[in-house]
Amino acid sequence: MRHRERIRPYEIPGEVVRNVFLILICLLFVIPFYIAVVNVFKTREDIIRYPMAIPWARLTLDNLKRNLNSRSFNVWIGYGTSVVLSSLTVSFVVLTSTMMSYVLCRQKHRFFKSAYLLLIAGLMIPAPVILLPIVQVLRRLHLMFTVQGLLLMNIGWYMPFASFVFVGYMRTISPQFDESARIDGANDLRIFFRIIFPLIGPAIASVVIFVSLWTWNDFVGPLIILGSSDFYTITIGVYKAIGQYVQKWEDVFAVVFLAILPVIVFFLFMQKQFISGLTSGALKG
Amino acid sequence: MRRPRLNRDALSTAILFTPGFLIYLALMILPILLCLIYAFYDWDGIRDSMSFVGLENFSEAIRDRNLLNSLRITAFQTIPGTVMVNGLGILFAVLVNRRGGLTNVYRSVFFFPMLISAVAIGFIWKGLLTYSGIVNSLIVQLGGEAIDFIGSPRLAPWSLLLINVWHDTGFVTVLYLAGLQAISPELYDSAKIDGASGWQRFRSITFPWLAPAFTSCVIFCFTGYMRLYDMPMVLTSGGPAGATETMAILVIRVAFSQNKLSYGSSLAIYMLVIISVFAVSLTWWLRKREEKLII
Repeated sequence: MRHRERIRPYEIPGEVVRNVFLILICLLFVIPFYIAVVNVFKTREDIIRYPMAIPWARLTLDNLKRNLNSRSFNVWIGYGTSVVLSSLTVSFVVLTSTMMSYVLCRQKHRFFKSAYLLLIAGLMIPAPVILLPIVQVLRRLHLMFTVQGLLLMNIGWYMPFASFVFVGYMRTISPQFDESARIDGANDLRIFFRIIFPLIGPAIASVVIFVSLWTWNDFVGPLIILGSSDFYTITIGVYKAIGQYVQKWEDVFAVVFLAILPVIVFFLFMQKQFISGLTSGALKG
Repeated sequence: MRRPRLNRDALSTAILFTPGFLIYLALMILPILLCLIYAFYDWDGIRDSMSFVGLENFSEAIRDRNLLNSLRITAFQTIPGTVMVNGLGILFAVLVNRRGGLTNVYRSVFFFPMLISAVAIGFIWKGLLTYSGIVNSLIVQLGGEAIDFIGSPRLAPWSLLLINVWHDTGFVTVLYLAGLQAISPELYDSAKIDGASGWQRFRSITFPWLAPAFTSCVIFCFTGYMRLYDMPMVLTSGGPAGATETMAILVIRVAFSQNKLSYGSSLAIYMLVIISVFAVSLTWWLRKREEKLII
């Protein structure tokens, strides 16, 4: 039961200082985003002359309209590709990883313990070590420059993390459930789908949030594997549209704004689930 | 005594286990082995011919100034970055940790930057810090001289470091906050009764009980920064003059832009070994410390 701590009179100055300091820190985090968003709706002259101000009379949607579907960047292709990639990656990862984690968690044989260590080791592998060979493999399979190819790489890449979360969580489920079902004649498959799977909701939520977010924000993977394909994720689309030279801020900020808008909207609506899902998942083990 | 259901049980276990594990073997372990194999040849990734060259790539790589440079740069991002993010993270978490009040607001604001991709953050900061950017135009308007935050080889690594810290500290704070909220308040109450000061309470109660969160966060930061690619790539493409070329950027540039797949593979293997050695030792050391502190 939450209750406010009573603030005693002599603590008031300390509280004020603490809160002022924290508010300053919050401003530090928020101001760059403020500048980015505010300048989406300003003309270039206004951005240069008054970077921080909001000239209410001269706000414009032109920057956004111009960049929704320009020659080099179609925001709908970006969104579409990112959504498809994220949802498919998450689905495959959650399904295969939960099943595997159940076995890893319950079986005591040395083989499975080593298999788990091998999986966890995957958490610290640098991307280039995987990317260099995977490009060759995908080329042989004619999957280079395709979303399917990138999907394959993603599924493997997030297995270690997903297994880490699921094994950690399943370890907290008492084996008594398994045992009583087994006495009734159930095999592992049935135990998993009927008993375990319904119980791991929070862990699945954590993994879904993390993996969708990371896939959405992924840069190297789509950059190398999708390359010059007709399809691009929103992140790569932004990168290619802006390129190396950042001079036309009204376009830069507009494009970046389009890229981060879905994430902001999601976050505003689901703050609590986000934070609890991420912190509980990340602190396991 | 043979149980008649044994075969069906084993089959169902196999059905659960195999898809995931096969995917992992094929898409993660196999590539690592292939990477190692490529490093022993002289393949450029495109031609059909390649010949075995033994350890030539590895010995050339160890004397490669670009590799040593990237090691130095990666270390500069990793060690100060990890220290700052975790130090500030614990500090902010302790400051934010109260019941009621603005705590949840602080938590949401701190948490938010981590959700945004490095690409978006990179371009936002690029627009702010570039020589003709927003921060400089403010400085000039106030009468100062423009500073080349990301165009100068001397300042660029610092800008990158600080942007990374800005990006990640909030998230780490939220993790530590969750760890703090799991510490039972009675410990603090009895310490206060015994007359312990704030700093003493922190040292003997807070810090030890944060040990598991500390281990996770430090490993997460450390391995993340050692593999840094997105932010320096977007901000400065590894420049100017290689000032922000981390190991990952070097390897990808060599393997793909320069079409030296085999040589790049040897660099990648070095990167893998270096990161593994540090990550494993750090994890082992931190876990040992965890065990000592939480008996």
